[in-house]
Amino acid sequence: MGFFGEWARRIAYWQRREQFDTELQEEMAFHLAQRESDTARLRDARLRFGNQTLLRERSRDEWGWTLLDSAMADIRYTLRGFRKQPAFASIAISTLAVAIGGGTAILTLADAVLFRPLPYPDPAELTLVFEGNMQRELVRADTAPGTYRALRDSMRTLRGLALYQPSETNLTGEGEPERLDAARASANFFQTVGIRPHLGRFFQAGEDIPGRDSVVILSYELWQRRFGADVHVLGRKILLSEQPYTVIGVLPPHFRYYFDRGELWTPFAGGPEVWAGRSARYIYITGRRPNGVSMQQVQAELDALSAQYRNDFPRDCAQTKLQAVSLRERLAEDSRTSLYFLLAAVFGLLLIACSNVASLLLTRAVARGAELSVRLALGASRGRLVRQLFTESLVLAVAAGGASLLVAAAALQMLQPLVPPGMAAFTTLTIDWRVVSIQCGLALFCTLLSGLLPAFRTADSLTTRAIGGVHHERLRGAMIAGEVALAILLLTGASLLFRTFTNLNNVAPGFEPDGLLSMQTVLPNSLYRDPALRTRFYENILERVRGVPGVTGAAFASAVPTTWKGGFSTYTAEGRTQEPGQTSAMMRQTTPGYFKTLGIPLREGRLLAEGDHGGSALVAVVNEAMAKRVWPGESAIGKRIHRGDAQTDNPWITIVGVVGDVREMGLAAPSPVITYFPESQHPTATFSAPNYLLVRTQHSPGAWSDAIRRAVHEVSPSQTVAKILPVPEVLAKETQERRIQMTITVAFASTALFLACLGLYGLISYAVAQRRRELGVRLALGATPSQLVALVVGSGAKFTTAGAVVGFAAAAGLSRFMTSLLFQVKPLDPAVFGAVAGLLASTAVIACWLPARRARKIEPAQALRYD
Amino acid sequence: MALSPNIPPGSLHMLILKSLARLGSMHGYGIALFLEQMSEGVLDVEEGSLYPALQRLLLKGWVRAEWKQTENNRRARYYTLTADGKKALVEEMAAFDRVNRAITLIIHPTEA
Repeated sequence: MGFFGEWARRIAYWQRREQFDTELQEEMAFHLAQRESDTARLRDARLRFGNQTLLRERSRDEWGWTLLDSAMADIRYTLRGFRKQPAFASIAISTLAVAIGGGTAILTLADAVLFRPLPYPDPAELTLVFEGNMQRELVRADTAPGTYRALRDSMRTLRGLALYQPSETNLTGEGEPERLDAARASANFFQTVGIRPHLGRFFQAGEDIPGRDSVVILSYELWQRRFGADVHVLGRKILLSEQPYTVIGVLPPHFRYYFDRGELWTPFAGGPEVWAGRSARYIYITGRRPNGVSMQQVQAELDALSAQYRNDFPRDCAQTKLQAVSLRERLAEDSRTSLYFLLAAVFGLLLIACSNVASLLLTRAVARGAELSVRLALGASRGRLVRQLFTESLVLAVAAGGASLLVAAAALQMLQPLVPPGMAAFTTLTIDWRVVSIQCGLALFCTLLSGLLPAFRTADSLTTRAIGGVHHERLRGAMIAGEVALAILLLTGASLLFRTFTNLNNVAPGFEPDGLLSMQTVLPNSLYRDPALRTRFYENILERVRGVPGVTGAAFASAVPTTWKGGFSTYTAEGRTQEPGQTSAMMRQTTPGYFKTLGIPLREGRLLAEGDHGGSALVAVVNEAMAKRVWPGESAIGKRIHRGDAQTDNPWITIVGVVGDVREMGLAAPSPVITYFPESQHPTATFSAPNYLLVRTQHSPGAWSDAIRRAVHEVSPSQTVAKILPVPEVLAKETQERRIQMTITVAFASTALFLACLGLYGLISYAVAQRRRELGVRLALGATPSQLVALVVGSGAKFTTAGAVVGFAAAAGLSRFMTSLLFQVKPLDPAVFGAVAGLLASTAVIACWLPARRARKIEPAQALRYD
Repeated sequence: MALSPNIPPGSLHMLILKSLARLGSMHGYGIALFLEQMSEGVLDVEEGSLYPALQRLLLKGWVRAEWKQTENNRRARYYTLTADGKKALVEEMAAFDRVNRAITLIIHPTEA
């Protein structure tokens, strides 16, 4: 307290120090006048008083302003210097700002994804259970309700096992009909998660029994948006897909759990047939791992249970391998490699920026050697000079720190999409005080590092200038070799990511996305109950939409390609004995125009047609991957499959066509095996209901959204139309994460390359200036100007080569850690390494050659007289 | 030298604080007069050295200053003890007493 109070007073008085002097003078004059009138002798009074000037000075000293004054002078001096050399100041400040701002932003992201506690009580206890497959690496797959029941009744290591499932629902009857991302959960779910309702209550035991499950919990955001934050919403009846539900509670703000959905939560109510099911896998399981129970213990129990299930249910669970993973780990695991990579990249850039600023400061200090020597000779203390140089770094730090805040703010916005979906709702990347303190720390660290070294070296070299030069060049050479090495590391990483990104963009998704518009249009449940009605409804809408001018095709399908990486079901092919784990295919329902609308090519047979309806023979179209897997070497046409495993007696379906593969699992993954059914023949398979309307337009699909929405509403005013998106945008989201990664890395790498070349440029310019006399002598002794250039460039090449060797060795050693970030490019891709080497060599040559040209212009006579 | 050898070093602050504690609000000259009279002229202060000392007390926040009219209608800067100043005076006096007693014990062993 006292310390800060003193400083506050010191600065407050310092600001009006002019007044301070006059006041002191007046005060002393008053004293003397009084004394004089008392003793009637001025000389006496003066004698008793002492030396006024000295006393005034001592009074000022009491306030300790000398330091402040000289600091201000240093700052003014520094700013004047920066104004005189704007290139120096702007390069130093902007490179530090990019490195520090980028570093702060990436640290913030890493902190949010990897470390910030999740917004649930005791978040470390929360654990997820997935049902993996013994054969495939799909260890984070959904589980079946039957398996959940079995686990709930037998697991000892996890407590409060609960299930939940993302779903969708139509909210009608209150204003505009609306399609909402919803979720269903067991009655104990919220108890396990441990949060408290914002309003009302959560589910009670027994509310997840069919018939007693007409209760709903609203998300805070939905409550705000749709119900005007009305506290009397509790007890109100709302219509969800035409069924009445009673509102019993409101969730706390930003509540999400593992997936980015859940505007409405209803109980997961299933009859005995649901709870018996072990093959339809569509739910998530979560529980709490009590303190003292290790993850290994949980996994050991799950391994034992998996073995038991494999044994007890050979039909459904032959491949079951249950996996436990903590919620935090699951949320972060897909981003971990990417985050570590970005952190490493930004740290490399930071090192380069520091070394560059240090080298800039050093050059400046040496260039100002004469000035500093004069000041030293005039009596400035060595410490005072070091302080002056240090002030310069500090001013740089403050400026760079301020600018880096702007960089960080922009970068954070760019990085926001890298927050994993399950955390996005409650994780906004913002500049908070922790970030600011990280930032201040970084700025100070960088400038201390880059400022102190030259500051001491300068003071040092003033006395030992002759040898100082040699040391100095070696130091700078080492710094530049380091910069080159780091730049190569960054360039290699950036090139690999760039190749990955272009490879991804060149991947043919299997359909033609340009001009395609998609939207979600879920029919109310009542329509689903009557298949004929449902089909007629789709036909009416499609007819109306196709009538919109500019629309050349329209179809309904289960999903927009690549957006639903699920919907796999078991099938049985006639006359084939299929290997376990190879019997499920992605099942999609479509209306007849689907393949034409999306531009999926027909390979063999025929497409689904208007004639395939509820009354005709059951047909399906499969993709090439499926045809190849099930009927290798023969035609799939005319072959028969049925849904479910061999034991079920579902009706046979005839394959009538084979179409091209579609990369439904994402652009980076090969096409899965897919079966397409006419929606009219499978009205009961509601989980893959054709909820998406896909429309082919001539160009810029976004322009058609309103016309198409109107067309849909003309058929059914209460039909919800949501998520209207041009498909190219949907696909861009697929690659968004990699695009951001790539953009940031390329930005870092080009900054790094620029800085390394700048350093090289500086080194050579300096060398030319320093060796002027020597070069002049060589010239006088008969060397040609070109030989001089070669000599100077050679000294730069030495450091570049040394840096390059280290850099490439490190890149070759480290790039394999990037493997999971890459697509269709090997970590040691020779083309990438070659391109980096070429780029580096050419820029390095330019950076050396530009200043080296000056060696040509040296006049021997002049050079010898120089200095 | 700031102080005549008569004044033990470091004690000027305490003397000023003590004077202000007695006088209430007072200007520099008044403090000088008070010190002179109270010490019966024994303590010889170089009067000007009051002013740097007063600045130090201002910095520490032990006194505050304001310009006022004197009885003879002249403008003078009056100093007043702050709450912190009163606390500091008590502490300094306690410390002074301790040192004083110790010195007395050494110089006149029989008197203690």
